[in-house]
Amino acid sequence: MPELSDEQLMEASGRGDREAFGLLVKRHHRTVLSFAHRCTNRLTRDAVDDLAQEVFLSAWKSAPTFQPQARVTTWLFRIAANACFNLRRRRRLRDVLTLRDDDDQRLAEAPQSTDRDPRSAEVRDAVDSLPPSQRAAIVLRHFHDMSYTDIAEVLDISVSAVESLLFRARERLRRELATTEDLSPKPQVLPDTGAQP
Amino acid sequence: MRCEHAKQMISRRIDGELDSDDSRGLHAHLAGCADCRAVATQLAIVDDRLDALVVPEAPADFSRKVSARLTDQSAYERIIRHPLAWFPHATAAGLAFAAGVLLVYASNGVRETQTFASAASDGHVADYLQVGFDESIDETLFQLIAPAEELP
Repeated sequence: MPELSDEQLMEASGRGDREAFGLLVKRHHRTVLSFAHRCTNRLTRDAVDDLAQEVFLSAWKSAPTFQPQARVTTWLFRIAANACFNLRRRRRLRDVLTLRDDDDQRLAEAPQSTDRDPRSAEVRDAVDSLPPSQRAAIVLRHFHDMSYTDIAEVLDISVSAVESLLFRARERLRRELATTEDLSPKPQVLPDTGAQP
Repeated sequence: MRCEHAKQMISRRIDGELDSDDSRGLHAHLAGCADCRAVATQLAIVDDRLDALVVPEAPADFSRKVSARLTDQSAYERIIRHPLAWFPHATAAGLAFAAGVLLVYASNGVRETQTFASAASDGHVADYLQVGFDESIDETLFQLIAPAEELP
């Protein structure tokens, strides 16, 4: 079955074919996990795994309603984006009610950053501070290389709204980072030719 | 071109979504606006910094976990969507439980009867009943349960 397209696999999944759906999960779980990781505020790895699993469970439930003309990746991103927005809403509601739940524990156990650059902590904080839609837009564009048209489809907004989201997200990141680190270009290190001045 | 519009174009240029006309217009604006040139440089640096944000490797057993949750969910939905599906299982379980209870009662009843009969035949019904405050009770009870031909 591996030669089947995503759309064919999704159609088969809609008819209850678990094997076809398993192949889709294997094909796309890394993409969904990386999107969920970047779109959620410092959750533990287990919490992000849970969220990504929920995305696939939702996809399985909705498989019978999948429109063959849609792209599976776009459709999965839409489910994932909604899951991330809902999570954020729940956490905000919890903050308002000042109730504690498992999320507190998850946040308390947030793992050490795996970023390559030590300055990336500031970048991650700045990305974390973005509103959810700006954040999703920048993640889809920058890390998943999606076109404005595809991002518009995922977020269910117009292309001009995507353009505006990305601009505002970049401006906010620029302002945030300008307060914490030097955003001037790195001086280029010239190769040592051994020549004396 | 206003600076705000130029900044939007810088963002589109980073994404490779700027057409050639707009690109020329932006170039002309940047040539005469130091502020926007600085912003363009900073936005390019921000874009580079984003590249450093890596995500952890996907867990090896992710697909298996999704499959397991699908199985659990399917079983749950079978019960929710078809409430009568569990009826034969529940009936069987109920009958088995009732049979077990009856068995326990029956075996306890037999044991009690045997113990009481044994106590009565030995003349120690009061011990059996753990009363013991009046020894005459043994005699009275013994007479009550003794066969008619044995009565005086």
